[in-house]
Amino acid sequence: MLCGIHTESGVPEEELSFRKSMWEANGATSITSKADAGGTYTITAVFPPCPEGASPDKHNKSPGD
Amino acid sequence: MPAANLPRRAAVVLIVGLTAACSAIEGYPADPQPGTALASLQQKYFADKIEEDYEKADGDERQALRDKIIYARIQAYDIQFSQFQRALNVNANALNVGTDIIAVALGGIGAVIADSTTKSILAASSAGVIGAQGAINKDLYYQKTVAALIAQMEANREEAKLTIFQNLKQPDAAYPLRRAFLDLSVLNDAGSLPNAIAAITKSADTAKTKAQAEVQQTVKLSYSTSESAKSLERWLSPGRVPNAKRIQALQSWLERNYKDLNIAAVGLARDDVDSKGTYEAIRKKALADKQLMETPTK
Repeated sequence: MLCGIHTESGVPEEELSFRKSMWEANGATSITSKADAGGTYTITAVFPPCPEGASPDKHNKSPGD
Repeated sequence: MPAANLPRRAAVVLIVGLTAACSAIEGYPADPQPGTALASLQQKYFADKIEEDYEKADGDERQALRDKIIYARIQAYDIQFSQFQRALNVNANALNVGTDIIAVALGGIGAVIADSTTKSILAASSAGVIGAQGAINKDLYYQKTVAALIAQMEANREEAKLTIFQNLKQPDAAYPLRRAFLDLSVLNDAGSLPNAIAAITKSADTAKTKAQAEVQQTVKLSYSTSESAKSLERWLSPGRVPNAKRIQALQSWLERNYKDLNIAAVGLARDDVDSKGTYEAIRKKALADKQLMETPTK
């Protein structure tokens, strides 16, 4: 189950609306954006909280597993 | 002006100046209560006799006596806490650069606490919590720490008082003096440094745990220039319109094959900042999955 907070940085202004609509279509419960220093944007898409012990950053598993 | 009066005038000016300086260091207005107020309250309301009088009384008289004893004891604790606060504040304001923080803490506490065991406990608490912050700019840390500790002690005391005031609404049978003594004891301890330190530490731990949980639940993505990322994005949004059916199909595929990784379908067209290469490999697998790629747009 998709959970937690997903941030996408380096989004150009002309892509901002499109990428936000992509996250919306993916079922994010909240989507916000803020300007970065370099003229790009960071989108923050929020999904329901992860269950305890199910951190989204478990990348120790390789894609081949 | 006769020359003989000069030393006397100078002495008066010096005394006035020093008095003003002391008030400024303490930072509190003068207490209008006579210096004997605390002793008087202790003598009358902390004595066995008043408790005996309460035990002998009954009905409304008993409850009135209960209330009187409790309010008097609260007043005594308030006076004692005020003295404690002033002592702490004087030490905080009078610090010089390089003054040892623990020594000052002990000095402030020692000024109002006579019991040597209590002194040792407080010293250990101060050393454990404050000492860990290191030796840089100790005096500044101490000044800030004292302000935070006083604020916490006041908050703890208000909470303890609220419990007592709410319980005082009950009749004596439901809230007898013996029970009130337990709450008064909590009030007395609420104004202590160890309790303030414990409350601040607990609050900081809660905030830290919350922040850690948020960090752990965050997936950070950045723009990807790889061909696989571009191909996947085109597939997910033909004609630059997000296709809900394909996004859902890829999401289900990810949850079947990479359940533990918590990857968003639209996020797979980007790179994970914390695990370089992982998303690229998964994208290639997704693009190579014929059944998935044949998902219709409608």
